[in-house]
Amino acid sequence: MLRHNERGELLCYVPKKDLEAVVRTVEFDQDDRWGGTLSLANGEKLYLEPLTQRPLIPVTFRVRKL
Amino acid sequence: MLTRDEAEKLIQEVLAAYPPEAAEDRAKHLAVLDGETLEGGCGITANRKSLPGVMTIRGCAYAGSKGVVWGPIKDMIHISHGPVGCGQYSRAGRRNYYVGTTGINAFGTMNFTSDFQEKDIVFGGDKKLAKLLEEANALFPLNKGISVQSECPVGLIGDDIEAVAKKKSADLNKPIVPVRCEGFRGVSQSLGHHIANDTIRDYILDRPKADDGIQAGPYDVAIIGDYNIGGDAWSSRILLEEMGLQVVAQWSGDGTLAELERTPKVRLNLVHCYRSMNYISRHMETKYGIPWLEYNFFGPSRIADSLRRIAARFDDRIKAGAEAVIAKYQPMADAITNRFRPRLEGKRVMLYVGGLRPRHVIGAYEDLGMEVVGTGYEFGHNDDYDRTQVDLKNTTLIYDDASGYELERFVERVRPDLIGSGIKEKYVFQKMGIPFRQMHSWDYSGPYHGYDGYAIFARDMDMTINNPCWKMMTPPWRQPNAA
Ligand code: SF4
Repeated sequence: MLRHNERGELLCYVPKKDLEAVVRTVEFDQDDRWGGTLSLANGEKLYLEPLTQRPLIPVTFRVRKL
Repeated sequence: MLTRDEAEKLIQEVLAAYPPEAAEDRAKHLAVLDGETLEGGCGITANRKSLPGVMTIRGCAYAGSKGVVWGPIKDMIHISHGPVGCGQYSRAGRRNYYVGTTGINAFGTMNFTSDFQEKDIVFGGDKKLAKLLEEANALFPLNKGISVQSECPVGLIGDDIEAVAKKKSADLNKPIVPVRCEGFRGVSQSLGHHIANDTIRDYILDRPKADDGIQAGPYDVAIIGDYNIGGDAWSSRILLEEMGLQVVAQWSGDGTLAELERTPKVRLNLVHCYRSMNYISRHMETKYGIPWLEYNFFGPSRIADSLRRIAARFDDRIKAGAEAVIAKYQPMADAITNRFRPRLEGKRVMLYVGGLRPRHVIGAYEDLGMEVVGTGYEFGHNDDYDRTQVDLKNTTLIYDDASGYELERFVERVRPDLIGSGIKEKYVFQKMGIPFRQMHSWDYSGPYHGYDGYAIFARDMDMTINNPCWKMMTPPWRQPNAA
């Protein structure tokens, strides 16, 4: 699940692992292409099939671990 | 104060008593934190199955659902479905206060059970459940709904409580919520919270109902994860209302079904216990777009900080309201601090509690000049430990799902001035000569939330630590000048 934290940073939450971490970078960050590799503050990387538009946050996705 | 080396040595010492495999596993649950916040989490493994043979202090999923989340909803009947013991031995132990007439329109302290016998196990208990639902509804017609809280045997024999609930819900025209919270599920009560949150989502929030026509006000908020232990939610609520917000729902201390149903219309969910109610807060955020905010109402510094953070989500009227509330109560809080701080300054505390207090109460102790030297969660998850780091200032022992043995050894060596934990730990530590407060049920005191709660908190801590009885721990024949 992706949401914004109080400082407005993108925050990702993986329920299965109780992992909550700030998303440092998003590989594709354009209005018509969004997703790809998400790098988290704890060093982990997740892969989200790029979307054709910017998602409305909060939102829940299925992602792969890289 | 503990130094890092000492603390690490202590952990090694404690682990030495275990067989190698167990020691390796337990090592992942123990840590020393230095007060700095680490980026990738604090490296504690949490929310894992307790080792067989280790005296864990955890509860079961049924306790998390019936005892914590569902139980306090006062105008619903909560049936402990299965043998009589689970419900009877936990009845009213949590001290969730409520207003209402018990047995007429409120049922909080009552125990409803299907009292399984051998024949129910052999032939199934569905018929009994159907009969029980009807009977309960006839005897207590003012109930607004019924929840069926499964105990272990119900899951083991494979009863279909969902089908019974669905049929009876249509017959009685009331929500009947089947909760699959059998005690054997998951590793602790934490899964019970999650299951209960999910059933609220599926059977209460998603239940088709006529529009009540209530328009949401611009300042509507809900208090989420406050169970009104000793009146906690009340002493929190008055502060929020004084600053101009309208509290339309309390989840779930002193809460009602109507309040739950009303919540999807609020502007902001205020989450006190993150552990037990983050699931439903996240759900409401995704589905209804309601943001949520964690706050902390223990001790004046955290209260002021929380009030300002809450106000920042609203307009200037509320911001001014928050400042006015802080200005009004700060002198009272200062008077309390001035009175008790000299008696408590420098005292060291070890905590071992449930879902939010291992971190939330730290601020209140610091306001009184006390130091937290060890803290741990029975059933916290990794995100709880990440949140805890922020609250820690000095070197602190961290223990996850600590066993009775570990706690005793830690306490023996650290010799804190106060321990805050539960009833099962209380008498062990009192016999070791260390002042103890129950931090689950406030030791029959409370409330501890809000400014009013701080006054009681400070008094209780002083009363416990400076009680003259602790000077009488040495029996006469052991005293040096005994003849
Ligand atoms: S573990 Fe099972 S039998 Fe024990 S209290 Fe929980 S539900 Fe009841």
